[in-house]
Amino acid sequence: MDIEKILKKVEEKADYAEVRYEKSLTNTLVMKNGNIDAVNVEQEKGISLRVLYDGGIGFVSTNSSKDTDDFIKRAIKMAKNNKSKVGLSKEKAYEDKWAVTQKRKIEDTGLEWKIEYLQDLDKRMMDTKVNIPARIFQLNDTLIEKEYVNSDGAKIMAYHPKIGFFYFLTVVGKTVEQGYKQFGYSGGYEAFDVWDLENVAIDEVKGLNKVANQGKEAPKGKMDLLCGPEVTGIAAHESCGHPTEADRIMGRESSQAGESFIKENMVGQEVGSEYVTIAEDPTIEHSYGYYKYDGEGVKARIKYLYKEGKINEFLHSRETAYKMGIQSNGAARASSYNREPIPRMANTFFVPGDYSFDELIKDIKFGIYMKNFTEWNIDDKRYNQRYIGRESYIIENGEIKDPVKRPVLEVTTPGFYKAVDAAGNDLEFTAGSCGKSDPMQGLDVWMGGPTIRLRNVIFR
Amino acid sequence: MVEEILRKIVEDKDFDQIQVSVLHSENSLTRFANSIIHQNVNETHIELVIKGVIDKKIGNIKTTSFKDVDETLKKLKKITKLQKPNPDFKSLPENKNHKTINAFYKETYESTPEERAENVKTLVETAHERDIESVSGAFNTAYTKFYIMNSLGVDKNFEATTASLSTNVTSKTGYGYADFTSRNVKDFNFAGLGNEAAERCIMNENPRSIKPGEYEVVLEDYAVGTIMIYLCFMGFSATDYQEKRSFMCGNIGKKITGDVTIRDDGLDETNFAMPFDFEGVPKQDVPLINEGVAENVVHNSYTAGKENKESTGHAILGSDKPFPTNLFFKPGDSNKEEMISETKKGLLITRFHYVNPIHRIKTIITGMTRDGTFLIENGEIKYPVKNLRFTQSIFEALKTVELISKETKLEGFSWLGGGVRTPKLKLGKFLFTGTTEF
Repeated sequence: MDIEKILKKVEEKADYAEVRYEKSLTNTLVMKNGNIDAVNVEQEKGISLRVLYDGGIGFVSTNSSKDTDDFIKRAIKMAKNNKSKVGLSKEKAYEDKWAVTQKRKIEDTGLEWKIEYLQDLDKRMMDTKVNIPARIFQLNDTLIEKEYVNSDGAKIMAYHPKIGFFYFLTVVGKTVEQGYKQFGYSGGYEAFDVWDLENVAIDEVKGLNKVANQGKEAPKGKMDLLCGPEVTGIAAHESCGHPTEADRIMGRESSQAGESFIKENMVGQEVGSEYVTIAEDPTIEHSYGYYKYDGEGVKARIKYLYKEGKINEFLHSRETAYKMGIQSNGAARASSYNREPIPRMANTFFVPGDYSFDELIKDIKFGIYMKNFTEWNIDDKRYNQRYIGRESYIIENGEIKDPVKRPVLEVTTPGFYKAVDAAGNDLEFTAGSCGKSDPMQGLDVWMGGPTIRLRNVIFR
Repeated sequence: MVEEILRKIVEDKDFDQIQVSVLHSENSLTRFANSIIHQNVNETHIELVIKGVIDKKIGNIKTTSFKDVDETLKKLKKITKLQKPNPDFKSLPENKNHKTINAFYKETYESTPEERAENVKTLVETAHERDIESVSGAFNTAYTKFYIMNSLGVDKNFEATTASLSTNVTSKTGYGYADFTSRNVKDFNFAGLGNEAAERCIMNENPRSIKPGEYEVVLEDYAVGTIMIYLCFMGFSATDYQEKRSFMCGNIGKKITGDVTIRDDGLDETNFAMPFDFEGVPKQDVPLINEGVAENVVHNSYTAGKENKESTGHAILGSDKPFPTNLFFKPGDSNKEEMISETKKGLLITRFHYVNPIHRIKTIITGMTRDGTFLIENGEIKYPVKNLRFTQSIFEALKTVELISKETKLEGFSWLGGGVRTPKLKLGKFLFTGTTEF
């Protein structure tokens, strides 16, 4: 089916329509302990149609139907049985083509090269002489072609190559420690250099080994905390990004992802100290969550969700923006052609400050440095959360001392952000897969931040 | 038409063995929030998955295009040949007769958006007969047809329907929940679900804070269902067992819980039964934990071949990892009232939310309570309490099982088309490590 033909036909029948086409090719390579465990190729293409009819939205998708009239009929029928009366914010209709550039093209990178690279990485890890009985790597590359048209006149074409990778390591020393880290990049196989994958992975092995062999019991009680960029990033994603999703705030996700402790009228309200500014920026080139236009054709821009400790802006689709009487800020994303675009994060990060690591640590008398995390958990309103350190250390009199095992921070969202009294200048991003909604939509994201200092938080 | 394409694929002589499957699904979803339907979605999806074997090298390809089958096979040959031989691979399964299962219900297949809207309206209106603020949820109906063929003579297909509904009801300070799932949409009592969630919401108003710590618990079937699903993730699969990541490692034949029995019976139609798995191997009844003793993990043909065993019929589409999808927790002879009356100081838990595994071997998970948590004292529900964070080993908790209900409920885990039939439980000890503000 041709998307412009569908749009032309449906325009007369609906108040608004948009048609999306997506074609993707994904190669996956799984390696366990240096041996190939699986090589998979996935090819997917399909079309979706979203219509607004008398205030109701209908959404249909297919990867097999060729009957345009039936496709349109089903969408209208869905919209007619949608009882809510919604609208879409009025937005500029763009005609554009965008593409992510690649230095080492996915199309030109053979399976043999990927296998060799990962086997070499595995060998380098083993060369550290650390006991790592389980080493699991998964590498995915995806080429995505998208076309989008809507009845406001938007017409956008996109070409988006992406690379994703994770390792899952089990290190055995006096105790067993496990490490998992995800990497993501929009572009080609230059990603491996950008990530500095070999050095990061070897640091991980050494860090886990330290904890496994020298890790002491984590102290409990009130103390200072230095969160490494990975911990700062997950906190920004979970306790700022999610609760500022407008659909959660409006209750639309209450049966699925959950609600938010933030209400519509809380913009300007204090949630943290003046050192806390958290941004969401899909326009970072080559980021995992990169896009130039969102899933509704709205131009992407940076958004400051928390600004200098205050709730500042929500993540919007055209529908939620209309309900609040504002413009969309281009945060509507869909995981594929067969899902509706809804307010989502792309690249969420704690905006860095000026402090060096040495300046951050120097006046901590006693505390914990949580370099990264092994587990996190948060409630359905994004208020009460828990982070457990993976590679963590005691800080005494401004110096890093012994490694500690699994320090547990349980804290509320304002409790966390109000305790921040300094932010470092070492901004880093980690990749993640963010899940939301029903039908479930898993999306590629970056989350990040610098090392941040928290005063007097409670470890359990 | 589909069968013709598949037969052509399995006749490709360039592969030593080849398997092809097709999953055709039609999903319709009606979502509602703030007591009104706000989303109607319909999706038609077909995918073709092929596994090829050449000299013990295994390749997999998945496509949604039936047009370029020759091109797809060419690509599969290329990626298969690039692999190293896998000495653990024995063979794809041979054809075996399977039992007939009735999993297709016309009422579900033919359900329309109008009918779903009407059913949601009944639920929402019933809930609003009480003093609540809003109702939200999702009602899904789905049809799937699955074809499986291989070069060793497997040639089967199977069609099924499922319907599922979950709903949350909120008032100013209360939260309630109910869900239901079945192959047949006729089995639903929409007013009953609205009533259950609203009643729980009203009961749960003005929750009070309590201190975290160790409590007796009465777990509703919703909460037990979540625990069961996490047990599956942490170790009932032979892949986890063979990679030494399962809690079953070193425990087969040992008593690891109290007197509980958990099995996976793919043929029991009180769950989402299927006649065969995604390799065409007939389903069977596999005891996983029997009266507290760890007995079996589940296999597909690959993991079974590795141990010179027979597959238990637990292959999953597009995954090399077997998984139990038709779980049963053996019921007892108790009921919720008795469980409450037997509790000196404990908590009645409706469900768990955002659960994450902390330690797979020790089966430790963490998460929050949600949608109705109540303090029980001296055999009576005293008052609702604010949500708590738990951090608990499932096995340690199941060692303290005191009462198991006679009545069971089916909880779905839709991403695998599976289900868990579960009772309510009364446990002697359950550890809560934190609290929240609502």
